[in-house]
Amino acid sequence: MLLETILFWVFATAAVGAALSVVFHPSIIYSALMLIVAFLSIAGVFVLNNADFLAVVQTLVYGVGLTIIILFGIMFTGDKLLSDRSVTKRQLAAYMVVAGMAFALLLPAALHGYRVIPTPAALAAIYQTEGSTALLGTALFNTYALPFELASILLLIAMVGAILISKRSLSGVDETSIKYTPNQSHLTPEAQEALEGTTTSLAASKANHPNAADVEAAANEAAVDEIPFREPVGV
Amino acid sequence: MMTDFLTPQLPHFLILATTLFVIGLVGVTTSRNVIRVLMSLELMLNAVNINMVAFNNYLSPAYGSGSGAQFFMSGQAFAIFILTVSAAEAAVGLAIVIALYRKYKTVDMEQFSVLKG
Repeated sequence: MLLETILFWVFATAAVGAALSVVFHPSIIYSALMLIVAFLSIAGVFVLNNADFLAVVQTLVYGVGLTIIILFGIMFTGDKLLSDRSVTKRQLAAYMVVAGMAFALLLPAALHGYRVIPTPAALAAIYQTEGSTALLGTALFNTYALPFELASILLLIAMVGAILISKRSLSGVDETSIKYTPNQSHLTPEAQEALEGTTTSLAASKANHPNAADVEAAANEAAVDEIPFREPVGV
Repeated sequence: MMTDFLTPQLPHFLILATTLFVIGLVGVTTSRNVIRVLMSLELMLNAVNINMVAFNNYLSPAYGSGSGAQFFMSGQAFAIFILTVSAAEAAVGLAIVIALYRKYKTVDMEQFSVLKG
């Protein structure tokens, strides 16, 4: 019991501290690394609750797999945001007040006097000898067989969706390189020949304009007006 | 006694889960980097999982008695489903972040303010 108490407080402190640095550390790489610490501490909390299979799955799926793809995302996009906070210190204080209110709202539910059912002796014996994995497997394949199959379909859909969303284009061709060529097959060969060379580019038509320099200046002036102006943001 | 207060019981786990959930909530609402928002979201889902597992451990129902007793692992089964859904969410979320980065060359949340593609 003493060991359990010490482990709980170690895991709880590590989880909360790591979670705080995930949210508040200026460098997002350190945030991602602290996320691993938080996930592993939560796996320890699972072990304290006799959920050994879940603890291993948590370590493998979250502690390794998820953090790897998050680190890939960070490396892919680059750590360009120096000040990550989109709010001023004053607004952050307001958010803290709101978060404190949310905490105060949830706390009564946590402190509600739940009538704890003492673990039956037979169940305690199973926990002692073989753990809860076999029981969890029985529950998954009997009571929760349908949700289990639906979860596998969800994973398949998510996999296909992730590939489709992150792919550059569906056909494998860079769409920006495709040039538009009007269909002229319905015209007679003479008409096609007559049309040849009549379509000129915008740049060429600008250059051919008698007042080319004036047009250029007007275009530049118009472009300056259209550049969206953003207020500088950050702390 | 002081040690009674320190010994982990159901409220300890629930308060830990609440704390992690609120920290994740602050991260989701105040972060500017999309990837940090995703990380905070994962923290919130994990906090819910702690709740599920703790309730399963302290309030687990048993059917029957003696050698024919059946024990239900509903909380842990739901924790597995939450884990599956959050893994799918993270994969699709990262794909969206990468698609957005290709288009806008940034991960700043404030730049993603238009619905039009």
